[in-house]
Amino acid sequence: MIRFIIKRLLGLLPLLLGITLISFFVIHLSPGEPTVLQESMNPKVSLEVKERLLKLYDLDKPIYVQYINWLARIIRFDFGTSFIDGRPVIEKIARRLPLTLFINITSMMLIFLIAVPLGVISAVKKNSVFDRSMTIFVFIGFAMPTFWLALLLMDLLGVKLGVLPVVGLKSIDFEYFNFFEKIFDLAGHLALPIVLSAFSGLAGISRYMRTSMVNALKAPYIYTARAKGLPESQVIFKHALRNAVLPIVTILGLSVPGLIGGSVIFETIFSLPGMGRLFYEAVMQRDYSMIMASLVIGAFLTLIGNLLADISYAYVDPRIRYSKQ
Amino acid sequence: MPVKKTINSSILRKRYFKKLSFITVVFLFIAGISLACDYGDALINASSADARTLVPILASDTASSSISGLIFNGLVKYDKDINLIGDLSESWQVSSDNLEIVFRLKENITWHDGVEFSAEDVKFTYEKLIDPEVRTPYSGDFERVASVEVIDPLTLKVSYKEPFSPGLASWGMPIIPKHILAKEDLNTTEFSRAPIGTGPYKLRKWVTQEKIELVANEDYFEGQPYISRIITRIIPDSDTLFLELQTKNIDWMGLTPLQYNKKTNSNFFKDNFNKFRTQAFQYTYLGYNLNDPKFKDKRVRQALNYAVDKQEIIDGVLLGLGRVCTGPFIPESWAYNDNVEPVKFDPERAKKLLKQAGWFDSDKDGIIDKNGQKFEFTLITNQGNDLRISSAQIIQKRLADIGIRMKIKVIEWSSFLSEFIDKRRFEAVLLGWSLSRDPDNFDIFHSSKIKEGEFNFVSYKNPEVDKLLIEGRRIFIQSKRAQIYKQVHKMIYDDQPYMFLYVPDSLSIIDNRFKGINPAPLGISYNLIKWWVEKKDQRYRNYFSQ
Amino acid sequence: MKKVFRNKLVVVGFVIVFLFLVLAVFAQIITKYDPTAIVVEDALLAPSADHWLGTDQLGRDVFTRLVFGARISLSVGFIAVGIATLIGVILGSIAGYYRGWLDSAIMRFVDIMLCFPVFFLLLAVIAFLEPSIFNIMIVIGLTSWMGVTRLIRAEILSLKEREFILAEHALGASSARVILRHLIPNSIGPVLVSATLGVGAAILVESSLSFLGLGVQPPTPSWGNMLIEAKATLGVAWWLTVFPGVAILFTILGFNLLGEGLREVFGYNG
Repeated sequence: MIRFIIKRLLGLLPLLLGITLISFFVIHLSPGEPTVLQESMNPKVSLEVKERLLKLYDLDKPIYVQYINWLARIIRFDFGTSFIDGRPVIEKIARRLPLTLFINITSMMLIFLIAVPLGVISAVKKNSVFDRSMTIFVFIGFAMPTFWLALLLMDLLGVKLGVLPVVGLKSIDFEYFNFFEKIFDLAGHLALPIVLSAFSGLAGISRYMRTSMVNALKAPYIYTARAKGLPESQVIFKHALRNAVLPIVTILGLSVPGLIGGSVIFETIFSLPGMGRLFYEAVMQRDYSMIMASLVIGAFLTLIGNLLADISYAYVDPRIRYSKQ
Repeated sequence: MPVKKTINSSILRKRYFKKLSFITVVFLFIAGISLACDYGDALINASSADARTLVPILASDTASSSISGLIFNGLVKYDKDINLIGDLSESWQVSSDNLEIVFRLKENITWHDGVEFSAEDVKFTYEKLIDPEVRTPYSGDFERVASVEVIDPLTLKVSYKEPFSPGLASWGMPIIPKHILAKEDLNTTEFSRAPIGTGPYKLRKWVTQEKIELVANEDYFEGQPYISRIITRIIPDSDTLFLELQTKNIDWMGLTPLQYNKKTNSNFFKDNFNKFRTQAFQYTYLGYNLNDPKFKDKRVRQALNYAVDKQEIIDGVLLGLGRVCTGPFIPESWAYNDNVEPVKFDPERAKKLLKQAGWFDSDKDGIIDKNGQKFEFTLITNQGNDLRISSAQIIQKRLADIGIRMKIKVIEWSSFLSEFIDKRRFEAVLLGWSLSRDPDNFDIFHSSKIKEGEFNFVSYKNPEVDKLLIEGRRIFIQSKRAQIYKQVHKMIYDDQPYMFLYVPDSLSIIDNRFKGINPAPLGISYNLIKWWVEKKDQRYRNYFSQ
Repeated sequence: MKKVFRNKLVVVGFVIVFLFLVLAVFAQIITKYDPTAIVVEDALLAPSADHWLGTDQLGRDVFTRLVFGARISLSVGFIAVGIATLIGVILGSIAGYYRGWLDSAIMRFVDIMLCFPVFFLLLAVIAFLEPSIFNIMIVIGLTSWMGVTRLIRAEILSLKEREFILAEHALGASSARVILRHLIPNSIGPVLVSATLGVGAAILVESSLSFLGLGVQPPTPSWGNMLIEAKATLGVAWWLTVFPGVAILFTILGFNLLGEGLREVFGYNG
């Protein structure tokens, strides 16, 4: 097992290098200089000032020199400082990442909890009314532009009915609340983003679960189990489900980048101070060091996600350990 | 029975207080309202982006500037009628040759940490402003200063290389504390998140991308502000912000014309909010690239001015909440020339002028042409300003009516500036200028400011305007300056380097529990420290410093 | 073909998609208005006989903008997916057929691309290149070919060992011929499924980009930017919020049902 993990970890290195290379060049081939924003079209800025700013940011060196310098630094986990406010990039990300991870992990668990039973029932009662209506239901979740649904629900639940807060993470006087009020307040603020994010991600996983379960039910050992006279519930839950859930773990690992990417929309509409918005702002302001760090860290998280999925898969199913290289 | 006794006495005490407060209320009623300002409560407003830095001389974004404006003071400021008055300074004297200003500073002003404010702080701020290592965008005005001398702790002499009348107003620049920053690198200092100023509010808490909380400075030299806390929440999407206003979790926000006119008329809004409509110090224009052969001919530019109905834009986009713009000044400015009449919408006249300039539809394809070249151009504007994008679409339609094909390109702000404006890669541009209260327009219209990255990006050149703009900076007497700028106004409108479109109104809405708001030519927020909320209406906790 | 249309999902999906395709193709005939004609006096009119779905803030006919928007949104979907499929099929068949270092290089590249939060990448590139319909199509295409590549490669790996392919080789057919004439046509089923699902996804991506101001630019109507413009009128003009949203919802639903149905028909799981 240890050897398997080490091998997988070593395999990540070339991927990481590729990731840094792609991020770096995509960003540097773009027009727009970060220093421009500093002045925001203020007529009181002279040209000398602008040139001075450009020099200060080291952007006048050739691009490959910039890349090598940057790579040398990130190996030491030094992602540089933000072009916008001069603060260490890694510190800014560290402050924003937990919220994004929390929302994504919670909604992933929610997806898993709903998608698995949904997929199982759909597979068992294949082509039934339930199956068909669930298909439509999960696809509606996928097909709704999230910001649109979010806005409608905010208007309904937040403004018209007044049952949930509209935006933000905490109430104004949060700091004066007691522990339970704090938990309740946070849960209220995060309920909509998490549920919505789960709703939009439900389609993929529940469809996979259904397919996976349908296949599992066709497997020879199921016939054997049935032939042995085991009760149907035991056939389904003990034999088929176990095998059907396994691939879902991998799929969840693969869905990490999609969730992180989608957080841009959620965090903007719900005014949540997470990673997605940090990235969007960095893009809009040409904050190169921040963009690169976010891309690299985002991709790195995906790698970790995949690795975790692989390891847990291998842990459950020893065949993987030996067959994968 | 000691327990019972306590209960009784507490009931008694309550009654007693009730009576007392009743008496107080009556008394105040008789004595007049002026005494009745209560301290306390919080004002919640919102910003679409987080502040970047609270080092005020580095701050160039709206959020940073408006928050640091409450934490810091300059030497001078504008009063509600837009006259320069002392802020940190008591008075000033301009020498007869207009080369020196001597500031006398107010006594007994302290920084938020209790250290006394002095002229040394002002000199320090100046030195940082002209330090090439400091990433400040505001050095321009201060590069004309020859020296700043501290005469005594409360007296300061500023000498200029040449007479520079906008110089006085430039000392509205917030002053930063020397005793804290002397050894710091301003670009990276922690001070940017933990500022110490002299202003009415102190920073209490800054939660990145969530909120910035300020608390009243009890020792403020103009008196303690009534409102105990000012909390700026970061809400990037303007439509969700409006939803949040409806849940009463926002007290103050700027409105779009649509929100002002159509979305805030219900009883809910009438019962809970007050709306304000004041003049904004800005105008929106369509600028031509004057190096483009099509736009070199003044008749063409004048024709386009006749072809676009500004009132239609004001009605359609601003829903009537704005005025026609006739030049680089807004009507409230003392530099504004009333005699400049906006041209009437007249497409026929436009066509005639174009024909004189050689443009007409020779091949009957609906688009006018000259020497085989069709009249087509692209108008660029920046992303994120819906009013501008809508205006562009109306202009597009009106120009199509006289046979000009205009394309619209909306470009994200950063590359808009660096790739298109700075490099002059545009034919026409739709933009707005926010104006300082001083009418000095040198950077925008003087022909020496046409180099890459400078602000005369339309490359306007008029020797007479040049001369006037230089003169306007050398004279200190307002009535004489006004004469000059009125001429500038007329000449620029005649030359049409820009098609001046509109001066929008500034629209805002404030929860009606706030009293003492008094709109004036300067806007509404100038007397923020005098706003107050009656005790019974107070919604949020006060902040008590230990 | 009969088998295909016996599947209910396919039928429902196909009808929806077909309907919107017809609207898009015949946009000019269906409506008498110009999608960009501004009539300031007619701003924000509710649905009526004159304006079936009302007018927007600049007095433009919403129904007209919707059908012209269908054109834009569907082309974004189809072209983006076309690009992705093309890249995917080429890279996938090269990798699957030739194996060796070429295969590992391509698949490593796929792995790398799959690690990126794609939306981050999209956002960065489109913001930098400026958001035009053209750029949006290309960039969505360039960031969504990885799935198809894997799919084709896997299909080809399994097909390669089948008897008819081995026979072709024995008869001396060139590699190109084998790939183009046999391998690709025989793996078209799964590609079709993933492409159908991809169109819906691409339309959604465009609307998300619009939300961030990086979608199709005005005055050209796309469903995404119509929905964004409607955001400001929430509570004043329900017709602006509802119709473009419903259009997106149904279209994507249509494509998904179609894709799902095809998947069932082809008996392909993945």
